[in-house]
Amino acid sequence: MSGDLMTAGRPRTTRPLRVGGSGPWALVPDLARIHAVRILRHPVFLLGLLWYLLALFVNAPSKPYDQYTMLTALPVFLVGIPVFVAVNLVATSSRRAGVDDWTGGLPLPALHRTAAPLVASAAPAVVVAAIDAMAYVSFDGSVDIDVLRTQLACVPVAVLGAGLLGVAVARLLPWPGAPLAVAVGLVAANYWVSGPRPYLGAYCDFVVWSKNDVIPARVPGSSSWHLTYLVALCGLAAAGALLPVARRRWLPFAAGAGLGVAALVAGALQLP
Amino acid sequence: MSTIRVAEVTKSFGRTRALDGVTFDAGQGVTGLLGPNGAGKTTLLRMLATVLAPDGGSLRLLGRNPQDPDDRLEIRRHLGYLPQEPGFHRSFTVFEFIDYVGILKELTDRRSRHDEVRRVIDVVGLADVAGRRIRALSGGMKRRVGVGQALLGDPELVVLDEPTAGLDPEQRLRFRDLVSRVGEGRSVLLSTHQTEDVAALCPHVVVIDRGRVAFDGSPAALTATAAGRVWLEPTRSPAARLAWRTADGDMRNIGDEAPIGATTVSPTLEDAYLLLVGDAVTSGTGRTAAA
Repeated sequence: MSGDLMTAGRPRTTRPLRVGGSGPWALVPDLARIHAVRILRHPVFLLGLLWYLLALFVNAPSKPYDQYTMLTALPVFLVGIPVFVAVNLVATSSRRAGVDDWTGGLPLPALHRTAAPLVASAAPAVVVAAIDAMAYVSFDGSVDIDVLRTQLACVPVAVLGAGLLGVAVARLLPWPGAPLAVAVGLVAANYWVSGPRPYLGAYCDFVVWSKNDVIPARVPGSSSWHLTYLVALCGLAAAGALLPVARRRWLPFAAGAGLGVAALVAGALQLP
Repeated sequence: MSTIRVAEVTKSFGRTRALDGVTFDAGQGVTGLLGPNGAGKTTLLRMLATVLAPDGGSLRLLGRNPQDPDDRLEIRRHLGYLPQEPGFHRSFTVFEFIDYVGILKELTDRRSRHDEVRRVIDVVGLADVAGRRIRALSGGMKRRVGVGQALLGDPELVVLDEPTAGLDPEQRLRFRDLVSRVGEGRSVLLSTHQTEDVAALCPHVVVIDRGRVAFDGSPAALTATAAGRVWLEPTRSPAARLAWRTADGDMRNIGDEAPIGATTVSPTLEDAYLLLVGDAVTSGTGRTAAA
């Protein structure tokens, strides 16, 4: 803008009401707490959680393989997909409710507003980790297949990744139907890769990574590399979410590129 | 000192020219912004709220340039804005929502922020329903939630877009009292269709019509433009642009000039406003400008 009004009025003395020395990052935990409560109260998440609890405790699996799968893989599907949907709906609610139309003029930067739901995505992961640990304890002694700590750790990390992906889709693909398309696409790709044969050379059942190697003639893969692979995917999703709102876009772009490479390497190394 | 300086500001949406060289200054106190639907008021207020950038011209708010990112951030830290149709998170309680806005306003300390939230909830008279979900509130209560969030953090510049829409007469009077208090020591820009509110509250009024400033001055000066142009007759006068029957049974005629021998009466601000933008008002359209 230009014109002779550029010199009009000097900046006023500011009133002492705002950001302290820690800057707007100090507000992210407060905003994340609000989002976390909304995610944990979201009907879609509660439905997934209920399904998981029913599967765990009402119709408790008794066979070793079923118990093993229940601890290490099923929560990812029963809760992970609802978490993706719930977090995405929470992350897009301001836009859908028309709140963004006017809160865009409030000072907290978009970067920090996006960081908050990313942090809040940890809440459902913590809940799932707690329930999975309880289930592990309740199955103790009856699971004939050894469960590694890294295998257990993969569950909340995968659920966290679902939430982070929900935020990333909200920021990168802000169109109606995009989250559904992503969810269907991921499930379909997973189904395709995990088909009865030939596994495309890129999939093997979680259970073959156990020490007991209950499925004969298979070489166990590495659950540690699998955990690394999941962590890298989580970082990739977070970098994707921050890409449209970062002031210096090269930062999330570079981080995303690095994490993408890490995911590829870890993804290859995890295989038997 | 002017806290708002608008100079030759233009804005278009496609082929529609919403603002066409708008120029005015406003300082401390309450400034009324009047105009028919589609005159460009909301577009102008969204610019003053730093939500929308102008295509051309110059804006200065609180002595800063909103086009500059650092200045814009500083303006936003001292700005309260109530949009015409604010969206809400309907599952939030009143307290939760205003606290949420407080976080977006960068009120960092949780305890003092919560104190401030309680203060504005009290100011807008919603203390009894602070724990109620927004989806359960009436339209007028939601409006007060909107006003409350705009006042959060003691902003120096308050921009209110039709804040009295949906309020009952008692609420409107309470609102006048509130805005009058807010306007002491701050700058308030009040967009409204209620000329009575402007007459009661504003020492300064700007009328926007077809994306241009049609009047900029005091309400008394605006009212004076209608002197000799309002008259009473038993029937509708052919010279009248607008006319209606009063409670006394007379026809109140408003036109460019009272006929010779007609009984002229003191005009009101509403009369003057109707004469100024009469075409848009009587046709009920915004013509070429956008809201």
